[in-house]
Amino acid sequence: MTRKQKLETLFRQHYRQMYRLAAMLLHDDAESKDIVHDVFAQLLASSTELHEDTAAAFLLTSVRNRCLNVIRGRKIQERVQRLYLLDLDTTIIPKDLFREETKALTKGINLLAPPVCREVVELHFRDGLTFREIALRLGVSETTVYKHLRHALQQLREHLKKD
Amino acid sequence: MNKTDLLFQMMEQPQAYTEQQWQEILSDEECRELYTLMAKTQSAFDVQKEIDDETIDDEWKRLTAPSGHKWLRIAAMFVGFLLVSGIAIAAIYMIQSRSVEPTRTEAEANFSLFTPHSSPQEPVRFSNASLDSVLSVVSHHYHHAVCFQNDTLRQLRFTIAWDSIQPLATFLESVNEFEGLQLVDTRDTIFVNAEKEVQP
Repeated sequence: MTRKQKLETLFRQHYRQMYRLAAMLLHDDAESKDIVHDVFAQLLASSTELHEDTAAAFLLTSVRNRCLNVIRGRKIQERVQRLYLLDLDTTIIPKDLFREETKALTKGINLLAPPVCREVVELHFRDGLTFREIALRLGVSETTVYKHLRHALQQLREHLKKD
Repeated sequence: MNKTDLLFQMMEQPQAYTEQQWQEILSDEECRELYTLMAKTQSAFDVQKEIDDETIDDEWKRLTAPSGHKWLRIAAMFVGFLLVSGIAIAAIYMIQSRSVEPTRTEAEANFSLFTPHSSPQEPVRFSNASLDSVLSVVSHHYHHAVCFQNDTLRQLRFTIAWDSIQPLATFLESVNEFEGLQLVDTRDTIFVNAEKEVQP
């Protein structure tokens, strides 16, 4: 098997996991694909040999570091606009905890009550609507949207504590 | 307004607030915790996106395309160069092109955004152009962002000259002579505020 074939195998084997990590940090489909692309472009251009048992850790660390570089290069307003985590620079994220926390949040979102809380969360985070757009869609004020969102986030926080 | 509502409001238009304002709100423990939870909630939705085999095939092809990749990079760099260094000229050219073959709506409205000019050194004259389009050209030239206090302000129409050699402050001063309008340059952002309610 040539080096390129080995890298293709690794690419196909780890792409989803690498993409997901980038998407979780950058919240952007195209940027996440570019991050994974750049990691492998560098590997293709270099002579770095990856061992099967450490490849996954190496690839995920590479993705994480590149994402951090992207985040660090942006002003606070841009970070907030893109909803980047703020403590990444100093916090090491345990891979499993991050995964468990995400699972717990997904479960928590499905349990949100009353339904309007879940609707607000889905419209904002899943569909990308602004608070003003949500207010218009639901026929309520923005302050009411804030109230539902705050209530939803309180429930999610409680759910994370229990889980 | 309580502090969490303020946080939500700020998140709706992050560019409208200074770095210091952001540092202040995010130094509040409750607000920071809330923000972090929102970021993680976003991640919980992002992680649900399915990546199919076809996408992986396409991405591998993109990675290993022998020359196309390089050309794409060069094209992207070229486009980036145009966007950064020549955005004003590009915008003027595009709008002039449109004025040569105006759409029916524009012809009926009988206006053009720019009066053609022969030299880049000459002032650009915006003719009955919306403030939104004026500022999109001007802000790109000075590498600024634009933040409108409300959407009505975007639709205000102006006939005004802009000399791109002059500093931004000079242009803002001339716009500020219009009653009821206040444009402020703060931290690489032009904030457009109405001193009172204005009609488009």
